Amino acid sequence: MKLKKLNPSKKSIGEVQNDNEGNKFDKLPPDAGVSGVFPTIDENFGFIGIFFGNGIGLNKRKFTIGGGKISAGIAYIESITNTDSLNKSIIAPLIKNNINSDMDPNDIQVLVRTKYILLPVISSSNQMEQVINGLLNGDVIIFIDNSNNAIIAGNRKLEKRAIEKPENETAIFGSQESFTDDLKSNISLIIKRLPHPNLKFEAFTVGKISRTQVRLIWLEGIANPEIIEDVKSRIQKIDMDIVGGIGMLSELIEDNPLSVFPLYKQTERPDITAFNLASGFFAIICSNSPYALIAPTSLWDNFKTMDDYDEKVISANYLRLVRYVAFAVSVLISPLYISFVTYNHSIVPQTIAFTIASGRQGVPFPTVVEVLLMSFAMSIIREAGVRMPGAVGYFIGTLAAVLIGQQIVTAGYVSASMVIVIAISVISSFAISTTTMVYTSRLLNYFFIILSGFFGMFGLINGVAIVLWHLSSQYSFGMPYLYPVVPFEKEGLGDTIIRYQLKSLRKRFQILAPNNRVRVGSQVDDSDNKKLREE
Amino acid sequence: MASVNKVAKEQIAFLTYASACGNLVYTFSWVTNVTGRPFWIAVLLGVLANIPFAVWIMYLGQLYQGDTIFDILEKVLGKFFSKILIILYIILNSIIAACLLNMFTGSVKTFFLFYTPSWIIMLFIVFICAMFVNSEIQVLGRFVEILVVVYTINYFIGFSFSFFKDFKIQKILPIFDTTFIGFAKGFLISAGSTAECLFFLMVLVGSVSEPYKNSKSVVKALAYWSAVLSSAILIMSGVMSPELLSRVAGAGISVSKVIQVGEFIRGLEILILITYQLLTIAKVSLYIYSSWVSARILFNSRKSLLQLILVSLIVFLLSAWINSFNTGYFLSVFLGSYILLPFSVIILLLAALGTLLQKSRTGSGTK
Repeated sequence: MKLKKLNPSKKSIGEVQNDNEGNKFDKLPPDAGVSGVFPTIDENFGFIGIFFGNGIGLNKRKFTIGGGKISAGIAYIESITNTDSLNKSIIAPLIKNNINSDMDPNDIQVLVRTKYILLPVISSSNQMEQVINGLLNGDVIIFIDNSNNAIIAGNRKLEKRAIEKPENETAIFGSQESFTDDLKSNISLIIKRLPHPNLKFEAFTVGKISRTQVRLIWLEGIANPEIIEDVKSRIQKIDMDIVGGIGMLSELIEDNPLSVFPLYKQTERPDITAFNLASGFFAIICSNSPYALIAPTSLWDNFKTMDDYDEKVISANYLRLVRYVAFAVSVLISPLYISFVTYNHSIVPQTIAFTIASGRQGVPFPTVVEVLLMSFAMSIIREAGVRMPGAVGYFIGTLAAVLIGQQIVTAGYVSASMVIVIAISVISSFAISTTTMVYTSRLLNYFFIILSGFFGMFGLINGVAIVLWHLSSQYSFGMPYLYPVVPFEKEGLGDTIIRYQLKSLRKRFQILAPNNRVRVGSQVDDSDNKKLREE
Repeated sequence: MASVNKVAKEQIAFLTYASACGNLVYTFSWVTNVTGRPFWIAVLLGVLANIPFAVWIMYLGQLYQGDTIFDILEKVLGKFFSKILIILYIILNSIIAACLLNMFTGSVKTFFLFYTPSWIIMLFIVFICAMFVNSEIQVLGRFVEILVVVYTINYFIGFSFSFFKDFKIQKILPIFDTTFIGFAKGFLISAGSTAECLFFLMVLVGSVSEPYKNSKSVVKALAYWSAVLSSAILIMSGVMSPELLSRVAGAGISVSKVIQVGEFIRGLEILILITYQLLTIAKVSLYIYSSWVSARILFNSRKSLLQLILVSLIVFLLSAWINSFNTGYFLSVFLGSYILLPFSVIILLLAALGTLLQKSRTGSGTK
């Protein structure tokens, strides 16, 4: 951390001086960034007081120990420090205990650190830079007069949400816990589900200003080491001032940020994270973000939910197929409507054709314009509903239903069959289990509407071919996006479009877990894996 | 030309399948015309007849791993002769691409987009195919793999409705009601038309590791395609009768127009259009890819993207110039009957003889 560039104002210096008698600093020394800890408490208090100014809530207190013969001082930032444990675990033990004042101040410092402070994480430093960083982390700094070392005691107080139910990925039978904004809580939720010695966490700090804490998580011996190394190098290459959360981090490390398809999966569910880790995926969590990134991911992963594994296998497969159909319907129904109404009438049975034709009488817009306008209106209503507080959101929904469902049709601006088609398309998009895929489906829908508006079925089929090609060309951390269907892997089909019985899901994917593919069976050893590798 | 990117066994099979699935899907009605009722057997055997030549290509590729047949020709015959052969290859490849594109465009205009100019349909197809080709061979392989599965399944789903009402076994019996000459002609046209796959394999072999060991994939693909095509046209003749089929161009879409089950299952030509369009996209992509790879040998990989644009433009301009279903159809029959297979065999013979000569000179068949 470079502290040299900081230049506190005179005003703040004066205010600090009021709090600290005998402060000899009226400005930061030119070598502030590399300054060591000063020998006197007043000098140290003066320095950090000038450094932080008066707005941050810096508290400094001097007291005596060793029968009143040794001066000591503590400093901390009140809002991020646990004051209860400060009193119980630092001040009280120091004041009550009798320390021999004849000892060397540096020995006293070591004694205090090793014997009297009742906190688990304690270190010492003679560098002011580490003192400053410690204060910003919520640590308590203890200075002993005439010692050039400061004690840094980890005593952070965190304001955090309780672990709540998942809001965006609800499950009927699955766990009702979701990640929170607190990194440590999230780590504990994962360890709780995977208490295995091979569960590895690697820490990174990203964002030059935000200094966001990131943890890369994987199961050693299962996850593909090449993929793990690749992810590590991608995270290390991040060169941004601020990385706000897992969303920003994802964009910085994913293969193709311009793809309309999600090349990673974000989940707020620790059970999904744990399940994927055990399958050979890796996960990334970061501070201040209630989501985990899971990768490498394929298109098919976007249609899976945790309920797929908690439900009975037949019901789970039925529901998974419903999600696939819903995606296809949300993307294709309106362009198909345009094609059939505008260009390719022959496929529509006569009775339905008459109904559609009579409904369109008096509608002033061509079908394609009608569909585009209605689809866009739906997107506006949805966005307004999401951004508004709950009660206003419901009001918007009701207003839209009355306005679009009745009045627009009655006024003759839009045909009734069009409203039905668009409503089916939008509702179907909400049946997709991944939020990002909902937006993908809407964007693809526009693309197909435009192509079918120009060329009917011919344009739509070309559009589908373009999307298939795009899907074929995408990779998620080195894994082809359509894997294990294309390239084909027989064992992978067990949990792709449908799910086999759990005991039949014997092998992990070749790309994800090349060295440890056996997942079912009590006698899992290297010979089994060797055999599978040979296969 | 050494190729870094290698295609997987599965992709070799699907690419071979797609490369065989070309003009014959339209021109089989000519085979019906010359052969009569057992035309589907002539097609079956005609496709299978390409297997030895395909294996031959893979064998030559094994001797010079990482090289296309044209790279081998350059090594064994010298630059001048190989350049002439490459130019001929690109011309032929572009013409058969233009034929397919014209037959597809003709079908689209006849049944779906009556008022859209042909050149717009052609340009759209050529543009997206060029875009698809401008990626790694593995990506193209995966893409073609999906298209093949979709169009094959879709085709049979479409025609499965014919078994409710329209398919009559009497229409295809007696099967062997033909002369030997008629059957032989049908066989030769089918074999010649399927030689399109040899054109593609000549360049694909450069992207296959251990080509001869992967011959099994090529053989399987051609065997599957022969079964799929012959059963597909057998169903068509069961719906329409071989006599009527022999007089129809764009038979697949025409036959599907006949099929109707009740009030709601109708207009199946749209379903069959999906198959024909995806097939055309896959095949035109492969034509462009073949021409592009061979053009890169010709110009030493300089300005590769420009070469792709030029090769695609040639296909488009030729298609727009022909601009007729009938011309495309008869040109395709002519090329299938007299040109494609003999040209492929000549190239393979030259490569094989050159290899033998080199072997006798150096005592080794490989680089």
